[in-house]
Amino acid sequence: MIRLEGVTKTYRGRPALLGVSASVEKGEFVFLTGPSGAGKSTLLRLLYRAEVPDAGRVLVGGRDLTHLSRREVAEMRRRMGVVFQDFKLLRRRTVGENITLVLDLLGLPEREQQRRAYLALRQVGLHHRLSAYPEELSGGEQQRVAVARALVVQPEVILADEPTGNLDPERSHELMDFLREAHYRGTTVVVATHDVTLIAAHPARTLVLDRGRLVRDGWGPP
Amino acid sequence: MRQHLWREVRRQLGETRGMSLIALLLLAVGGAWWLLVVSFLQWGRQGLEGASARAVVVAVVHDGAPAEELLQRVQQRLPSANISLLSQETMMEALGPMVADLGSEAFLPQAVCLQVAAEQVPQVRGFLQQEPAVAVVISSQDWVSPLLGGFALALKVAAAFAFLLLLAFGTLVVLAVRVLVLSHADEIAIMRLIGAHERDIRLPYLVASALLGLLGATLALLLFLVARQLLLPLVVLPPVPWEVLAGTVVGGSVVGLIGAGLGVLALPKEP
Ligand SMILES: Nc1ncnc2c1ncn2[C@@H]1O[C@H](COP(=O)(O)OP(=O)(O)OP(=O)(O)O)[C@@H](O)[C@H]1O
Ligand SMILES: [Mg+2]
Repeated sequence: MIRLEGVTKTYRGRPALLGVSASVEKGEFVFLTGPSGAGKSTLLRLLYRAEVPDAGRVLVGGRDLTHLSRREVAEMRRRMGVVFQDFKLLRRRTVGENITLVLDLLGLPEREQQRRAYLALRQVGLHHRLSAYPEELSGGEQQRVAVARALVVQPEVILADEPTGNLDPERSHELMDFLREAHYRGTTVVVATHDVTLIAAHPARTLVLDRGRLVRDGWGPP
Repeated sequence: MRQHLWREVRRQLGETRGMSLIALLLLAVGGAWWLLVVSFLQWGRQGLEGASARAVVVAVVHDGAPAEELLQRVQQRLPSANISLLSQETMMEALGPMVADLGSEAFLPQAVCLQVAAEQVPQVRGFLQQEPAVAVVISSQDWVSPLLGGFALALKVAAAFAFLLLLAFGTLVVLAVRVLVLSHADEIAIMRLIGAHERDIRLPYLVASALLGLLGATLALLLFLVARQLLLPLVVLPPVPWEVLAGTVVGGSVVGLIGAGLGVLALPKEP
């Protein structure tokens, strides 16, 4: 499903990723961890093609992302569920609209959009904030909306960047359960986190990055 | 994209309320003015064309020359024309009220007056000028033609001015959309990240601007109809051809659309 082949990404001469090679099979659940600045977000950005590598190849579903057209990139992103580290909610749209928008992009009829948005928000416990604007929510609530937006499209791949960063432990585990559920339904899930206790509580294959290098590919917390 | 499209269009018009309103007024007033000018010119031209179908030719006779003889010769030559002799008395009557101290009627020349079809004028003029008794030949065509030419020129100037107003409207739309697009840069980046096509992103700006153009042009039509109604006691303006009305509405929308198309070019590109 996902393949990195000797991927290097540098920002103004400073490498954020250095010769990273790894692959994630379809339906796998993988943690990506490492200290702050290790390159976790950079790796995920390469996977949803917000960046292109300086060297090496990034393949998703067998296709080299570097050579996709703008149209193909958009099509690919529609079928991915991404939870961004900084949420990236549209601040001029309500919580409900933030969710229905991605369903709208998929061409779903309006009633179905509303229905699915409601269910997704209920899953993360925010169905009563449907018509609130993101800035009226707490950081943790915004994060849950971002998760709901990623889950609602029932994507083939979920890329979650610190999805529990703003949540208390109970909410964190609840959220991990949602991601697990998606995984059990066959979705490929990649979760970037620096929270080792989270990995310990939900042991899975874990890739460890350190200063841009892949230093471990094993089971459970490092 | 329907529901989100309309919501976004409404939001954009709301966000640029001030600029949109100015653009709307510009288009409405400019458009109404343009329609009024067109119908005034049409009205004037219709009047003139009525006058120019038949022309009046006046041949002023030399002092002391036999005017009666000339009259007879002209009547023989042009039996169909309506010909009359302008006697010194008639001229006195006509000119008296206008010229204060005309003095003795002996100073006034006699003249032969012909009413002919417009196309006959050159021929009649040529014939009259060869007559030894005739001093000067004057034709109503002499002022109708330049006036018609003047109207044509006025129409061009009016069209140019209307075009300038339209251009101002378009420029305003370009600026408004530019400002909007730049202030939405972060949102647009997010839209792209969640898989929106460029079309999904651009369409609301285009629709909002085309709508603005349509609204402005329709307002122009209404304004024009009101003005026409108000002018009714003074002048009955002829109906404006529907092509002009439709062209005004379509033109407003298309200029809005083009303006938005140019404005959207400011959209930040994806890395
Ligand atoms: N747009 C950018 N411009 C310049 N440098 C960048 C940019 N994005 C990331 N970097 C650098 O790349 C390195 C990796 O950053 P990245 O965001 O991938 O780290 P991370 O592992 O996600 O860290 P964190 O746990 O704090 O989110 C860092 O040193 C960072 O400063
Ligand atoms: Mg990060």
